[in-house]
Amino acid sequence: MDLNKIKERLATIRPDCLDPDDPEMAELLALVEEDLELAEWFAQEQVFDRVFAQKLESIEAPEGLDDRIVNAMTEAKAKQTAEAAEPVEETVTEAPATEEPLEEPEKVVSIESEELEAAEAPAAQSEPEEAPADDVGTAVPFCPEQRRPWWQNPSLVSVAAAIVLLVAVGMIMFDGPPASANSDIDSFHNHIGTHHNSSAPLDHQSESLDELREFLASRGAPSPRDLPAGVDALPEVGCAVIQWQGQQVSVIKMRNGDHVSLYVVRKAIFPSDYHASDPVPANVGTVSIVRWSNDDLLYFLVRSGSVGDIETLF
Amino acid sequence: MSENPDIDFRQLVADYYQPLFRFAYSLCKNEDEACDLTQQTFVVYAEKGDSLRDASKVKSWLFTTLYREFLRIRRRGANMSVQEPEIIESEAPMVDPGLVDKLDGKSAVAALENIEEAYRAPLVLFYLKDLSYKEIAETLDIPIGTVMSRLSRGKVQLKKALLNS
Repeated sequence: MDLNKIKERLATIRPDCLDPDDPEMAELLALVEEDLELAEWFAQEQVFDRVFAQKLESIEAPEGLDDRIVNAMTEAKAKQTAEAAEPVEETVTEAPATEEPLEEPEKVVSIESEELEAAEAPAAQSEPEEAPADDVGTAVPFCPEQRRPWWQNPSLVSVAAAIVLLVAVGMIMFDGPPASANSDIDSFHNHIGTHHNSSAPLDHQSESLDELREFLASRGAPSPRDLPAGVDALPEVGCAVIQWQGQQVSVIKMRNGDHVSLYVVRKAIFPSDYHASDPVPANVGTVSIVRWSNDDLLYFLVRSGSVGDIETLF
Repeated sequence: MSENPDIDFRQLVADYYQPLFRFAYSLCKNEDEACDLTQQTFVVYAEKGDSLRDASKVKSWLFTTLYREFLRIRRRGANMSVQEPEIIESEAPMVDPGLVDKLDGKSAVAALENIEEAYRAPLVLFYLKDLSYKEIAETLDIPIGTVMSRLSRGKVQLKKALLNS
C-alpha cells in the first residue's frame, strides 16, 4: 500500500473512533507509529476533523422547531386515523398526499476505480440489510377490499393468531436472551474498558453536570438523568460521545482520586436481562464496572481498581 | 408506540431533531428549508413509522427519509440530479486548524457548499457523527467503500475550499 492510499484510509477515521480492536485500523495505526512524518500528518488530520465537526455541531435548530414538529406529527397522525375510520364507501379514488410512496433516491452508481481496496469485499458491496424507508413507503393500488381494517379480515386474523402462537411457543422454548446477548455485553464492557484506559479527548469540558447534559442532548446522545447520590457528588471534568456498534454512547469523565468514567446508552440496545435497576458489578481486566438502569437508560460506571472501590459510591 | 403517541413523538423529536436539522441545513443551506425538511421527515414517521418494527433502526430511518425527501423536493424544484463526481487524485493541502477554529457553524456549511454534491452528504454525516459508516452507506444508498473514498476526496475539496475562502 503506497503512502497516498494509507493517507486516504487514515483520512476517513473519525477522531473519536480509534478502535485498536479493528484489525484494519490496528494495521493503519501501527504504520502511523512507525513513521514520524505520517504520525504528524495524522495528528493534524484528526485535529482538523475534530475542530470542523465541532463547528457543524454548533449549529442549533431555531427555537420552537421541536414543538412545531410535534404538533405537525400529532396533526398528521390524527388526520390519518380519521381517514382510516371513514366508511369504505367514502374512500377517495386517489391516494392522499401522505400516502405517496417515498421515491427512490437518486441511485449513485459507484465506479470501480473510486472504491478503496478494503471496501471491495463482496459484503461491502451487497445491498444494505434493511432499506428503512422502503419498509413503510410501499403504496398499494386502490382496492376497497384492502381499505378494510385488518382485524375485520378473517384470513388476516387467522394469520395473526398463528404468528402470536408461534412467537409464544418460541419464547417458551427459547427462554432467555439471544445467544449473542452475553457476548454483546462483554464486547461493550471491553469497549468501554479500553476507552476508559485510553487518553481519548473530551468533546466538551465543564464541571457542570447540567452543561454536560445539555451538550450531550444537543448531539442527540443519551443524556444522564438522576444519578445515585455518591456518583452525583463526584466533580465532573467533561464529556464525549463515542460509537459502539453504530449506537451513540455518552461518556462523562469525573474525578474520584483517579478518573471515573460514566458511560450512558439507551436501554433498548441491550436485552431486558441487562436492565436491572440495582447496581451489578463486573471486572474487565484492570477496570471495574458497575451497571444499573434508570428510566430508558443504562449506566456503566468504570474505574481502575477493584469492584470494592467503585461500589462504595452506591 | 405507547397509548399516547404525543409522548412518543415528543421523545423522538427531542432525541433526533437537532442532528436531523444539522444534516438538513447542511444539505439545504437555508434555515427555513431545513426546518421544513426536518418537520416533513418526522411527519412521514408519524404517518408510516408504525410499520418500523426495529426501534434501533429509527435513527438511520429518519436520516434516510430526510435525505430521500431532500432529493425528491430538489428534483421537483430544479430538476437536478446527483452527478457522478469527477475523481480528484490530488493530495489534501494542509489547513491550519486555527483557520477552521475561526469559522462558525454557518460558515462551515458555506465551505461545504463548494464541495461536489456527491461528496458533501457523506462528509457532513461523517462530521455529525450520528451514524456509523454502515448507516451512512444505507442512508445514501451507496456501498460502504464508496462512502470511504468519497470521504477522503471530499476532505481534499473541503480543505481547498477553506484555503480559497
